[in-house]
Amino acid sequence: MLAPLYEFGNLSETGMIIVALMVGFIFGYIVENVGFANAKNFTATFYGNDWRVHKVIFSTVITAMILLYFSFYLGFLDISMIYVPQLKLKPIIIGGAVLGAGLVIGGYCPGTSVVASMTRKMDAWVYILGYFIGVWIYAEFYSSFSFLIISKNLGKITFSELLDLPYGYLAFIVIIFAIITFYFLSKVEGKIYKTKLP
Amino acid sequence: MTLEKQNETSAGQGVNVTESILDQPLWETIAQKLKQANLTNNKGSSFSNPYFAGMGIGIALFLAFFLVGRGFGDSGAMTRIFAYLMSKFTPEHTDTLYYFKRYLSTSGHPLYHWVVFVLIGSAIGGLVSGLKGKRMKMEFIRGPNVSRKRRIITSLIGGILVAFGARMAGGCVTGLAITSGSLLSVAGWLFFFVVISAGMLTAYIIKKEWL
Repeated sequence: MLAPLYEFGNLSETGMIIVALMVGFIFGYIVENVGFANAKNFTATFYGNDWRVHKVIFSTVITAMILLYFSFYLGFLDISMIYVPQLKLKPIIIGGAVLGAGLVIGGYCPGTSVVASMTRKMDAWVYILGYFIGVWIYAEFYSSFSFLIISKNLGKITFSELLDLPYGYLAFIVIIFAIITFYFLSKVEGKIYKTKLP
Repeated sequence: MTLEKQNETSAGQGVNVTESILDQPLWETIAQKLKQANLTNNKGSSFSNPYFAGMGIGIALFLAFFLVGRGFGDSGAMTRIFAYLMSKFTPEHTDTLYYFKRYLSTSGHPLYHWVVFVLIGSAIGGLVSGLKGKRMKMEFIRGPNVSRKRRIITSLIGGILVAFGARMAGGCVTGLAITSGSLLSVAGWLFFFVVISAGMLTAYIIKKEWL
């Protein structure tokens, strides 16, 4: 088992910082270059006019899955060392709903808002301010919200454990599903709300 | 160069006028330089192919997994930055906030963390891409029927809501849906599904904002 290098002590702290900056650079560059840092493009997905967000997210997931699967299959990546979040139904559903609403109202994700604020978009600056206010409110009244967060912890399950299928088969299924989705999305683009955003 | 010329002509007229770049605020200087360098004129339709973009981010994500064993996590980075700022400005009050203890009471600086470095890198990357694509115009991105004031309010509300949702669910889209989704975690995919559904419903309700 050779990877993840950092976890096995084969990458220094400085190396970790350099990798983080490089990975972040690629991410930020691509996010800006594909137009996510623009709130109108981002919300166009939810109107069915421009499925950019779906295309990028699915492509990312597929690419990462293929690479992960091959490195896992070839035996040089220990996949159990990578963090998998815990499945708690209530906070994920409620938090996801709140986040989805906020994404469309605000037009940004926290990462894309940072990228947009670097290209001097003023609404991104306001959004970051709102984000800080939201975190502050959350921290201040954290104890009052605990009823929303306390939920049965179903563990760090992945679909391969849930369906008892090997990771490779599921990756394949997801790829087929994504290709079908891409095809379907391109047919529907612009037709749901009968407008085509510039 | 423009400022030197001004000095030359006024010196030729016998009036000693010295102008320096520091006579105006720094952000105005930056704005002027960007306009001069023609970096604000792109109308924004020359974006790259989303499929290739996804592949690029996927490769970067895999490199992150392979080298360090971690993925993206921008909402956590912003929370850390905020917790750090709060602890600097109001230390006694921040001590009472239980939620920040996980970020502030660990040994080492709270900003010395993988996600914060990724965020810094993404800011630099976004800046470089914006400069290269000439998209540095300072503006409000808003729908065609929306005033600037209204956009300020919606950005603010959107930021508050996303912060809430992200802290509750434990991440934003990049952290949960992309990173954990590529590991086929049920939490990540369920989150993605809920976010898209809620987003589409909200989009229908607030049609006037963006269409």
